[in-house]
Amino acid sequence: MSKKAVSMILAVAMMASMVSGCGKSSSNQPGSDMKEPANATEQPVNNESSTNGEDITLTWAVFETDNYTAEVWQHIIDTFEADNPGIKIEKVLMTGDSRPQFLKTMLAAGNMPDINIDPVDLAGTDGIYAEVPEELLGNYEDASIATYNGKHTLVPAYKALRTQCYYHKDQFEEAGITEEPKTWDEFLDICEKLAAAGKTPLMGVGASDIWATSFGWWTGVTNADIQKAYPTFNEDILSGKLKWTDPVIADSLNAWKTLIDAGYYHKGSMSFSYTQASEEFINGSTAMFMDGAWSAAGYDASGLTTDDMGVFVMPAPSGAKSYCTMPQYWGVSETCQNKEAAFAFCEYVLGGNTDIYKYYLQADGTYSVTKDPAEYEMGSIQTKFSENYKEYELIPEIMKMVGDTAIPTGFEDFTCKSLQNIFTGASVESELETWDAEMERLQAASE
Amino acid sequence: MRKKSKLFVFPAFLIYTLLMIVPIAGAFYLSLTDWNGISAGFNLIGFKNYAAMFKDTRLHNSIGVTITITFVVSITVNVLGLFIASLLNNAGKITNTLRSIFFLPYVMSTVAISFIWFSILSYTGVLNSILESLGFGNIITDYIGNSKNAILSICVIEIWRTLGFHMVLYLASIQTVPEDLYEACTVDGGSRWQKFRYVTLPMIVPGITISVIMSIMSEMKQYDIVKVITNGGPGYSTETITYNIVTQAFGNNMLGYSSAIAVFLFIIIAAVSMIQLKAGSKLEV
Repeated sequence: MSKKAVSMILAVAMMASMVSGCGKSSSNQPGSDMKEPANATEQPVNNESSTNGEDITLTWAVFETDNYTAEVWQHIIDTFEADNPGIKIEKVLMTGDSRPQFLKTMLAAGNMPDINIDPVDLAGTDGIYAEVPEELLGNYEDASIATYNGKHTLVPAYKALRTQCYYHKDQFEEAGITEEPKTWDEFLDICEKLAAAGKTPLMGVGASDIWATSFGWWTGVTNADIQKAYPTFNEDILSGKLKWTDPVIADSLNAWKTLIDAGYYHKGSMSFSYTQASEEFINGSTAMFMDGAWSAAGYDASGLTTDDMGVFVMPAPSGAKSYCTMPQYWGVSETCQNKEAAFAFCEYVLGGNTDIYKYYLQADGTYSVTKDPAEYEMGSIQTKFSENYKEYELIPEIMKMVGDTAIPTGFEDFTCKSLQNIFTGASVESELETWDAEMERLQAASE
Repeated sequence: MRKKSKLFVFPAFLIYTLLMIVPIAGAFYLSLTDWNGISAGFNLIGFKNYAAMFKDTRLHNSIGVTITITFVVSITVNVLGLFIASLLNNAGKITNTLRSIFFLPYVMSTVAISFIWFSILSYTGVLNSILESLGFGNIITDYIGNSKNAILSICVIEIWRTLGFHMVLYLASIQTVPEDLYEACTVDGGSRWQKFRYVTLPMIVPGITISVIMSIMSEMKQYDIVKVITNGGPGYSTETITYNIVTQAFGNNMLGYSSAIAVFLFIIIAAVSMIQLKAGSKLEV
């Protein structure tokens, strides 16, 4: 009998420990005003932010690059905490190549960080991000404020210039090139001269950095070609008035393909990660690299000057003279238990503390969106990058427009993959034929 | 006694139910919805997600990639694993040491392995550098950025990673074969190959069954290495079914559809395992 009792007690104790270990905290579901019954996977409240009566701890989703290093984020955190005793900021590092995917997995796991960088992909869904106080929004340029379903749920952070073509001046000199190209034909001529001189004209990117394969061409050239022909492209493509198989788009991508088919890209491009490609370019493996504005700040910081590194705006085959900027935002999660403190942090970094805002902008070579612009001293390469756009028209970036003219979630990643297919040999026309069907599918899924 | 034994089984059954049965049932339920994984509500849409799978060419491509990887890796690790296990069985004192060395890749983090192999297989990586220094610069190629080579590279890395595990399984199976049978075969004048063919193989059929099932299951769920090294690229050339599931769920906000694909994958793996078990049981001595 006693053995039986011991067995029963042990079995009950084991079950009790397992049940308590698997227990959920109370849920605080975003969008809980929906009428549908509770879904099968309730999301527990984010208990990362807590108030113990004295200290508030907020979690902040950040990402690291060659420019946005751990030290940059820590400096921002340390400065804020020094000025705001009682509020602690904990970094949550967004890993992988897709920050939106990382945030979605965190959301699904019930661990959504309180403050998110790069929240645009999720902002279209009600109940994910808290509405931004109007007095905070009043600090920012009207054009930078995004509206989703009639609500303002994102805090403007900065705007980033996009792509130009960096080049090694010594390689240009050795190939007998004395001027930067102003037209598409001049650019082709430069590529030919470099190849004839035994140099590799262009660096490409592949491996796991799918976004980077077409980044330079798409944002620097095709975006300009499309917007020149169709200034309201996003509205037209979303309404079905235009198709992705449009000859303007095909012609622009076929121009890219002429560079690829001519062998102007480094042979190992598709096996290089973005970091690897950047290092190979800096080491002189290729003469040119179509890359983002952040690299200008990086080259300046590494000690390079315009004596070593030149930069020019890629001439578009259509002759378009325009450039785009990408807006960036922060969002405060609806599950944050201390929204006031979270918005206070946003305000502090994004303009409230001018020095910290300049520090944040300068780290990645981005630009202020505050009504009272924050300006910082730029190095020679970044200055040249900015000045190159003096006679260019500012246009929207198709894939990065926010609000009601935003391209459906997932479509940009799909196009990056498709453009990689083009880089590795697929025909432009056959790839573009798949874009309309995929966009329709994703539009239907987002409704 | 029977009641007591049921009592001790209950905790394990509870864990299995909570961690396996409930999520699978949940996935099946979600596969019948249009949930985007973010909003609170969703609609039941019946089997529309399953119907959509027939038209999804990207999914079909990922099925082809997964089958290719599964086929190549499973056959190679099982054949090579059995071969190496046979050799190791006669290695004497150093069997244990060699077994540990072969098993080492299996216990390493797949992400760490991926980064190591990326540095080897990159165009300017270790392998091409060695080839160039040995004077074989003309055969240098792109192992990751070329669509055909990329899938082979994934297979090579998976073979390298899992070979030791299957070798250990086979070694354990071989070591359970009674010595008497080998002695009887020797007495009957059997050669080494005949001993292997008529004694070893029939006796280790259960081990072969387990090893093949595990390799198939593992490769059909391939994700980590693909994600880190190629991210499913170039283009879609190394996108596996699991990669597709994650993309649909967290990239495209189509959790209902991705659940349908996951259920499909579950059914395929279960079916293959059952067929394998049935075939194995018929071949058992």
